[in-house]
Amino acid sequence: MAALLDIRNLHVRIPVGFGHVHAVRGVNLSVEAGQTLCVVGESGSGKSMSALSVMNLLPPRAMRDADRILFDGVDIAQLGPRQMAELRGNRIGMVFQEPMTSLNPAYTVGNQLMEVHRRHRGSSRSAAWARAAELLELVGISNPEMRLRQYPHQLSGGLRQRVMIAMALMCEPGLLIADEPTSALDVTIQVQILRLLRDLQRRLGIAVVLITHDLGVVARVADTVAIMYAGQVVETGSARAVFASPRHPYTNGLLRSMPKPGNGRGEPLQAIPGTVPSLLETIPGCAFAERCARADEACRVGPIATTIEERHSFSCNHPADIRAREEV
Amino acid sequence: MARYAMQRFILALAVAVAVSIISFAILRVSTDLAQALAGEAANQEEVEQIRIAYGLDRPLYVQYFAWLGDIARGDFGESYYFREPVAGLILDRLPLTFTLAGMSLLLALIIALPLGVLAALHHNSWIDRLCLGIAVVGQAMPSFWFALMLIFVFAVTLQVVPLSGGDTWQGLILPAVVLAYYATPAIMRLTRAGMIEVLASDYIRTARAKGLSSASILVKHALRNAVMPVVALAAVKFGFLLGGSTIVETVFALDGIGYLSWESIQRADFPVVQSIVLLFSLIFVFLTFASDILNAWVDPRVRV
Repeated sequence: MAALLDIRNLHVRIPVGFGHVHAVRGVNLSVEAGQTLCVVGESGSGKSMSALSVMNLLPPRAMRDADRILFDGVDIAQLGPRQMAELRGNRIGMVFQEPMTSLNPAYTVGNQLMEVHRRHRGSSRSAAWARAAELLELVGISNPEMRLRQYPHQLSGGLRQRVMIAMALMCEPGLLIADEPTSALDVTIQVQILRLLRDLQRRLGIAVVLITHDLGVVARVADTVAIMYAGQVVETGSARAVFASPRHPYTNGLLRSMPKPGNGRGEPLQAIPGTVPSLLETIPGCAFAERCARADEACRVGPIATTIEERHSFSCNHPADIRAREEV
Repeated sequence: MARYAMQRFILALAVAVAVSIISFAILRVSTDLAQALAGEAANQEEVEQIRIAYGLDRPLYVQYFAWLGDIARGDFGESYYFREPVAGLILDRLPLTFTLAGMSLLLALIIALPLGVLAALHHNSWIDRLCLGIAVVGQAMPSFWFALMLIFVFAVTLQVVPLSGGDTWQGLILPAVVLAYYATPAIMRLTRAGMIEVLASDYIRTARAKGLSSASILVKHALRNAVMPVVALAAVKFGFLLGGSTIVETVFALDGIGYLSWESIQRADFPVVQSIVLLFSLIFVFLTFASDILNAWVDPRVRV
């Protein structure tokens, strides 16, 4: 089965003062229809930039370059701005991190929901209104008719994020991209929103790309996982395979730095030593080498071996053994 | 909304009362009115007679309320110079000044809003710098000089508009241009700053993620939010254009309120000056109130 979204060799460069920040460095990602891909990484790992690249919503001066970005068989990297606008909000929906500022303060919720439908479907006011009410109901907002008449400032953060999700789903997209949709919310609300996303994904059969830095989130919803570090995907595969036997030392480090209930109680969490490398310079070898216990001279110089297994692949010269995680 | 409007109205009323007290006081402390009315040649006895005849011997607060009562009935006193009611003098000249200020504000908005948006869309480019240049020149150039230059070019050399006078609408073109150029820079720069801020906001990214057309993103989502502060500024500018037309009306010999106040100051015609001060202050208070209401209308967050 061909992937719904297939990104090959994506690069994003952002000009700064004297040079470029090479924020995304040769990323490959793919999602199949109806599946959830979680892209995991720290701040600055290029995960948001990769997501924004798909929508062509990068910051004004950022430069995108890719061999191809196939969406439903069409290379959307080649599309002009008008054709891209036809796709956005229609066949690809997007939800952002900051629900408090992502809605326009000057218009009612109803107005902002309806305009997507009217734009892409050319629907009448009443049809768009009915659709908006239906969507609010779908994302679990009670009394939708009242909410449609309210302004964003009258809603809580959790409600606003539900509205954003409803907005992204107005035109029944095949793909929903959610860029850290729960990071700005209270923990209790985070769980609700995640559960909602998972339920919607199953009920509507849409593909979801979920950008997050929270491995707990990944464990709940992911079919496939891509671990990003310093602008590259270092390990990817089915969630089960990656969680059961992480092969890249960075993935291992991430999993060890995650609190586990009932396991190792009273012991401090293990942080990954060192800091993320500067993306201003080209990194010849493995970007993680400076922080890696297994790294040798070859890792710093490159090239780095990429192993591709059936449901799992990773870029590392010294991958952990299959059972590595149990040893830790 | 109604509650907000009521709050603003009460505030405006309080300011209006304060304004009336100040403009009442200006006349009383500036000179001995009885002496001024009686004239330079009058002796002490005549001055005292006039003081009693005009009620100027009463306590100040009594005089204030009597004065307020007169104003409420439309009696603004009598001009020393014209020997006729001030209300009539002002009313005759008000339409011209209002027309001029209205034309100027309209012209300023027509120029400033698109230029501000254009500068924001291309900010830090040559277009932005050109707009900045226009704004700086507009803010720095004295309006009387600009007025004289316009008269020289368009009325004297090209002879496409009348030299002076406001009897025809053509006569108002040059004065409106001068006043508009004075009001344009601030509106343009505020629009530019607002647009730059709004265009970088998350909800504009959302609008783009929804696949909306560029026109809808620019006008519906960006401009609406960017002009919120401009509404308040435009209202205040209208007040300045009304009051600030003194120089322009004088240069173009337009018989409006500005010209009347300029003449009245020279003639020490206190009742006229006092009435104009009071009237313009009240107009200012009203404009501020109107801008608050307008702001609440465009920005739902203000209404609560």
